[in-house]
Amino acid sequence: MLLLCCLPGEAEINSRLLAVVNNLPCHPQVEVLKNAADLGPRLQQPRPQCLLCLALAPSGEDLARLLDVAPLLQGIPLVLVLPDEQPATLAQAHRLRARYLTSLQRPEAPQMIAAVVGRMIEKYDRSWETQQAC
Amino acid sequence: MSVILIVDDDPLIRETLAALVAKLGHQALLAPDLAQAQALAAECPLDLVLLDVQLPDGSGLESLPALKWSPSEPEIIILTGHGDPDGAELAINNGAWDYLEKPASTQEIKLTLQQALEFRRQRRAGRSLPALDRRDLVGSSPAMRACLEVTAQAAASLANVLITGETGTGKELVAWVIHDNGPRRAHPFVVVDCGCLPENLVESLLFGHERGAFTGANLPQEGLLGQADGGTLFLDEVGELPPSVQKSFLRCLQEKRFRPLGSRREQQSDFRLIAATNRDLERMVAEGTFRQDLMFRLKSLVIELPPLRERLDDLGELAAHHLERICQRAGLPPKCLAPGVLETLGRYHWPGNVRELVNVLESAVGAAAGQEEISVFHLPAYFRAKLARRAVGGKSAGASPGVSAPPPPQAGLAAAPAAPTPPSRQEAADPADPGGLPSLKDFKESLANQAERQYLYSLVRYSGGDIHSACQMAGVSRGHLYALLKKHNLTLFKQVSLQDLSAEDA
Repeated sequence: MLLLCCLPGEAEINSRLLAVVNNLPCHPQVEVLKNAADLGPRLQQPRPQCLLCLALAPSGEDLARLLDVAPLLQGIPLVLVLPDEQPATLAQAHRLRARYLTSLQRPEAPQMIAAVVGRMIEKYDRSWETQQAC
Repeated sequence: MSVILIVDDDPLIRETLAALVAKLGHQALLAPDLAQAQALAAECPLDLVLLDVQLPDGSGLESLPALKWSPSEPEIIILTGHGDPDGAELAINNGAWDYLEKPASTQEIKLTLQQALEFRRQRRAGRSLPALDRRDLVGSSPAMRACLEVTAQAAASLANVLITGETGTGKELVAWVIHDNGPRRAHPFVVVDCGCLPENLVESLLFGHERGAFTGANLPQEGLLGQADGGTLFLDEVGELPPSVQKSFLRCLQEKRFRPLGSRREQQSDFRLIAATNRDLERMVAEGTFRQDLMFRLKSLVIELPPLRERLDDLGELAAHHLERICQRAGLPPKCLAPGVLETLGRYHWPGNVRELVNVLESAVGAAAGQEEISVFHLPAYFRAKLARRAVGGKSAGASPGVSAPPPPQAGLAAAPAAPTPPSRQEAADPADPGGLPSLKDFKESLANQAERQYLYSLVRYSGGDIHSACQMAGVSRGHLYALLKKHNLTLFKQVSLQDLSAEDA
């Protein structure tokens, strides 16, 4: 299981989110991209069997960059952290068809991300193991 | 006027039914056996088939799918003198319109014919729907065509849709296709992954909440139901929806109104619901873990996605589509499957369905980086190991569920061996039976031996039997290479197949 983290935010926000993923009890392999522009080229490369993506869009521009690579994100479970929860931002974000959306405005966002990503990894690991056992 | 094919070995019955059909203003075609029936179905535009069960060259029930999915996709009515409940169930499950027992009255046959033809007329009228933009929804097998038909109906309507199917069959993709082809395509498609949301937070995420509605609710939040207003709400893994939320969600589904947590005011949301699950909701209802009334609400339209192993006819189309997509995405020149690879893929059980196929192709494209053709050797090791293991198991202990039959020997040098696996006796070591484990030294030796043999097979394949190229590729001397080939009883021109390897491994 590879958790691809696209974290183009400020150092403090990035480190908060990284702490979340590094403290996950399931210990996924984590790959960090510091620039949203790197996500597209990364997704064009061969992918592992199980891949999740945690993407932070600290600004509208970053969200637009993610929308540019939306076709490459298709089929990859995505957890998306938005700059705000304005209706326009949410409407744009839904075009990425994320499995979970939250925003930097929410103090509880890191705990929620930890809970959701943890469950996602468990689910995909279980599914992979079942597939292997068949 | 409709065209009706009457298939019965009794000439008297054929004539009687033909007279009835003519009296109703339709054209009758007659066939005394299945062979003639299938020939007529392939050539003539049929609207309906009256099909006997016991025919001189086989069972009408067994041929039902072939007739049903012949070019004009006629309705089928079974008319048998040997009715039995299992046969009736099988017929209906295979797409028959009705199952009548002889002697059936003229009135009964006439009524059933008229109903079936009316159904067909309406079904065909429904086909004037705009063509679906299918995205990655690939396949033209009968099972997939049936799904696409319902998907098109769903896209043209606003009815609730329940998509069922095993993991990896493409339930979310079908949901996207419905939304993207429907009248709400310009509005949000809101995903709720019920299986990944913490149970205690599902309600607040769905309905939203006011500030202070519960501990930690420092800010108000608009729920996903509100965000889906005007668009589509996709409830993935709906079977995981906590029972406490099912009741309030049902009310919302009925009234399109809901109350965010901690709020005094109701909110409206005009959303279209698509739900998906890989669980048996009827069973969950029987077990008391899913509300029956909610299940009925979800099931306005049901799309049952078949597992990949039940639509292997689509394998070639799927592989070509995804290979093209993967190569395009990676900026690689297009690749295709080498001869025999499709057959190898078809022998696999595909527990992970299309998603697993895409993963397998993704690995294969990576492994075949500079080559135009993907050979069996490029398929992931786990996949080849499972095939080889099952092929061996199939020979020694009867057919295995994962493999239909051992692969036939392939011409040329196209086939590559399975991934290294320890010898069968040692490999048979079951984790539950530690006594069966080989020593680490034996295990490593056997793996190394098999890896060497596997490498040599591939070397033979890639060098095209040329000793000079083979030595260059392998980086060994001619003498060393001959010694290795001799050790493994190989020559540069030996033709190998997975079956050979499996037999040797056994």
